[in-house]
Amino acid sequence: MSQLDLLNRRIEREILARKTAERILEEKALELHHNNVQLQDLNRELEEKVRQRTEELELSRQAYKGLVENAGDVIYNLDRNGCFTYVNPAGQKILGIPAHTLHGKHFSEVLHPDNREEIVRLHHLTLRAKKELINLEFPVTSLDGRTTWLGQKLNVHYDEAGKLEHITGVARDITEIRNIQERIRKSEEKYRGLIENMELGLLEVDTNDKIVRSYDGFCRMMGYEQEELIGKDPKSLFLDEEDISFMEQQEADRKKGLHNVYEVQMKHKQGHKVWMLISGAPVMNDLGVVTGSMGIHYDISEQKKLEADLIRAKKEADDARQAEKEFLAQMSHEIRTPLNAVIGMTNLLSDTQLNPEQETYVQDVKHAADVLHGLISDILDLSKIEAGQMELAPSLVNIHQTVVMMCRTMKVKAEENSNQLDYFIGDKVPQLMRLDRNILNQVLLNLIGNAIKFTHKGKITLYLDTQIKEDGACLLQVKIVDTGIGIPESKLPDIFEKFKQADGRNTHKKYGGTGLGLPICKKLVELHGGNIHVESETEKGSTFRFELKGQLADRNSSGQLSAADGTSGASVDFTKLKFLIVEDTFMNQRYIQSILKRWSSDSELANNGKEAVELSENERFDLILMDMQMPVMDGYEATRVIRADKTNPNHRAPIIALTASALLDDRRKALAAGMDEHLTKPFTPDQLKAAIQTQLSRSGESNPAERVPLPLAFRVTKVKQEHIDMYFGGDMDYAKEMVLEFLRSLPSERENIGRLIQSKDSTALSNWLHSMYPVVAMLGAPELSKEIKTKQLTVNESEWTDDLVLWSEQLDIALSDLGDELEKWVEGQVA
Amino acid sequence: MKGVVFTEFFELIEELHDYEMVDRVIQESNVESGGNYTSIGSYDFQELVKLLITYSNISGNSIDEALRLFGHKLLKTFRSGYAAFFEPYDNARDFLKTVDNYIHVEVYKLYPDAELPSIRVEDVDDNSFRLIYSSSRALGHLAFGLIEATFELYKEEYTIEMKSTSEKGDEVTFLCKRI
Repeated sequence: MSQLDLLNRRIEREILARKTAERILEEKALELHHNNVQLQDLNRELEEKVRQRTEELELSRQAYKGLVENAGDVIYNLDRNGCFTYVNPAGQKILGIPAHTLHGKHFSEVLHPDNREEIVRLHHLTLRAKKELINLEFPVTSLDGRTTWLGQKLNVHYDEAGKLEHITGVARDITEIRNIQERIRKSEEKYRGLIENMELGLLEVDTNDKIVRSYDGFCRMMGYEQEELIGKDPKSLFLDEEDISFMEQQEADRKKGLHNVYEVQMKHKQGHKVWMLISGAPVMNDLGVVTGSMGIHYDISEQKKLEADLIRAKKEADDARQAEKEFLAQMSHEIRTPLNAVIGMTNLLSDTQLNPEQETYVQDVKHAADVLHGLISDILDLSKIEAGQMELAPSLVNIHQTVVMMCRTMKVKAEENSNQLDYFIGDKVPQLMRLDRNILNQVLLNLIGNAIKFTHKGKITLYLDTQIKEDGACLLQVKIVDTGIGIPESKLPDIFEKFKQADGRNTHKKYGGTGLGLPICKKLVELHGGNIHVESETEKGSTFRFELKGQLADRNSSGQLSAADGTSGASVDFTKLKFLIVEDTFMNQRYIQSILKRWSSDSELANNGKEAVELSENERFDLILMDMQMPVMDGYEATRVIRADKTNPNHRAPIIALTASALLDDRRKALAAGMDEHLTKPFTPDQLKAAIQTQLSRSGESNPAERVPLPLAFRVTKVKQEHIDMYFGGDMDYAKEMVLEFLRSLPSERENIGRLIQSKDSTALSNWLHSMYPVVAMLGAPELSKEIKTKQLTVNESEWTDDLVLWSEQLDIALSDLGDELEKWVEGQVA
Repeated sequence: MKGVVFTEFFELIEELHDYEMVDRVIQESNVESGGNYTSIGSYDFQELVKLLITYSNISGNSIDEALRLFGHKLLKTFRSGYAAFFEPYDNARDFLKTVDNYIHVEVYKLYPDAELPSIRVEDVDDNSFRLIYSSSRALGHLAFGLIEATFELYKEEYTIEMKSTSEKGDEVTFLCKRI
């Protein structure tokens, strides 16, 4: 094998290999080209995507930037050194620093100098603790010095190595909130301070009755330090055993959310008691849940002491007044009783056959007794007035009739002194006036009596006039002119003084009298809202003027005129009457018995209330004359027993009280006990007769004992307590007051029925019934009330029928029974 | 098998003998490609096997010896062509550790169809380590030559104990100890 062949083969192999390589390279190049084209496409696509994303990012960035720039809150960035890299416009505004000045500034530069050090210290602490989220509140100061409180939330960003990268802060202006909080705090402080300064003690207790706060004022009051009280139970600390349940009740109320005020005694640390007025109120949280209570304490120990002193003083005064009253009553009784007997016996004695000498003695005795009687009456009257016990008792008075009667009575006396007595009544003077009859009579009697006494062979003239005042009151003006001896000018000022007669001893010797008449008149007139004057000239005469303040009578009230005016008083046949005399004094028994005997009336005698009750059970009397002060059983008690016993034939018989006391209290007591009239001893036979006539004509012609049995609805046997409870809500004092008021008005109401029946005025009757049935229902007689109501409806519709007469008589009885029952009820209440 | 292996193999034969020997091996091996290899082409591995057997028969050198020498030859080529892979290291062990993890990774990027052996290095102690070669080609002696040449390159002296750990010879362990 030649070297040439070998070389040729080698070259041929190299060429083949080269061609193979070239082919491969060409393929590779093509492949590369394709790849390159694809890469270019891919690049374009990617570029487009990048562009789009960049655009989106820009939009998003703009949006976020807008949010941050327009945000009301402050948003800022701090770099790792604590310098601002961004502050949004809100922040720039609050700080009053433009962004370009702010950037690069350290955050501490905008802090308020007062807080700068503390905030920077907190900042460092936060970074050291690697906290990522911080909430802070602090003030910043703007360039122009405004201070703004910012509530801040800081996000702290750290890098992987834990090194601070930057801080993002969001802050809100809380100045307003801070200011309000500050104002609330100051206001609370102010009011707490106020209360503390007002000597009020505040104590706050939680729902477990543990003290959570005690204020200085309270501590001062109770002698404790604040720390001693926290966590203690105020009840066991301050209260006595017996007050604890009371306090628990108050606390229960407070837990229900109720406020309350009460007084309680609390123990001071030193051991003594302090009276506290406590005003308690629940303390609630924001959700309205009671979390405890707050008590405001006020030391009322002084007031309590004062109150106790006052009560004691009042009691002492009341006792003294009561003692005085009783003394007066007693005196009155003690003196009048024997005097009554003297006068009565003298009257009887003068009716017997006497020789002229005896006649003179009897007249002297009679005169002396009358003087004594007058003196005692005057003294008692004056005492009563001065003790404030005389009360006005206005009623309708027929003025004309009173004057006529007075003058007719005094005429006899006037003629004894050869005087002429005349009267003139002005045209304007009404027939009826509402005033105190007794005062009018007493003053007239006294002044006319004086005029007659000090005038001889002269004239006494009475003038009456009236004047209507702006307030509707009617002044009765009276003038009494005499032509008597007159009163020296020097004595005029003293004439209304006690025990000062015009001419002292001489007058007394010559004319008698106590010298109390004019002072009494003055007092009475003044009591009646009027005044009294005198003008006089010696030897020419005197003129007394007085006024009484009364009221004009209502047009419809004429019917209320009582028998004492003499308008009623149908004649009573005394020969058919039987009386029960209840009297313990022998002489009085004799006096009354002999008067009745003179009128041919029959009588039984009881020596005391007990005997009277016994006698009254067995026999029916037309009228009972009852003394009040008696041994064994007094007149009040006896009357109550007789009235209360429905089986007693006399339980509706008229009872006239005979008392030695002229006190208004006694009269009231007698009427309350169920008596119909009151007669003060000593009385004349005429006075007794008038009283008896009034009573018997009032109770009507029909004999109560012969009445037909009452229909069921009218049978009042017992007051229904549940009705009274229902209407008065258990307020028994009020109920009692109403019952007493009803009892007071009952006699006049019963008169009303009679009057209405007589007048046959169905409308008026209907009106009266209409006003009556609710009262009756309230006072525990529902059946009776219903009956009245039913009748009222028919009366209103129908014409007058005669069966109404019977019906109203039955109603009268029923009302009387109701009155009895109510009296029993009142007694039950007192017991 | 990459064409470079064939061209390098022929270069080695020519260095050891002459081109006539190359010519004989090509002609007598009667390989399919005709023996016109270019380094950037790819050829059937069986052709290399045939060429090795032919060369062994003609020269009297064993196949194992031929592969060992081929390893030396290949490392020189790698060193001159890809110096950057070698330079960062000052010792053979550190370099060998990068073959699988780094160099082969780079090779695959250029020649995704390349079939490369796995070279795993395990430290025994400071002075010795173990290199486990595994490849379906079972060219353990080629690896031996490459390892020897590497030590020479870094001027280190190691004894290499070769031990086949599978029957087919597709996994071979080389225990290398510093002398």
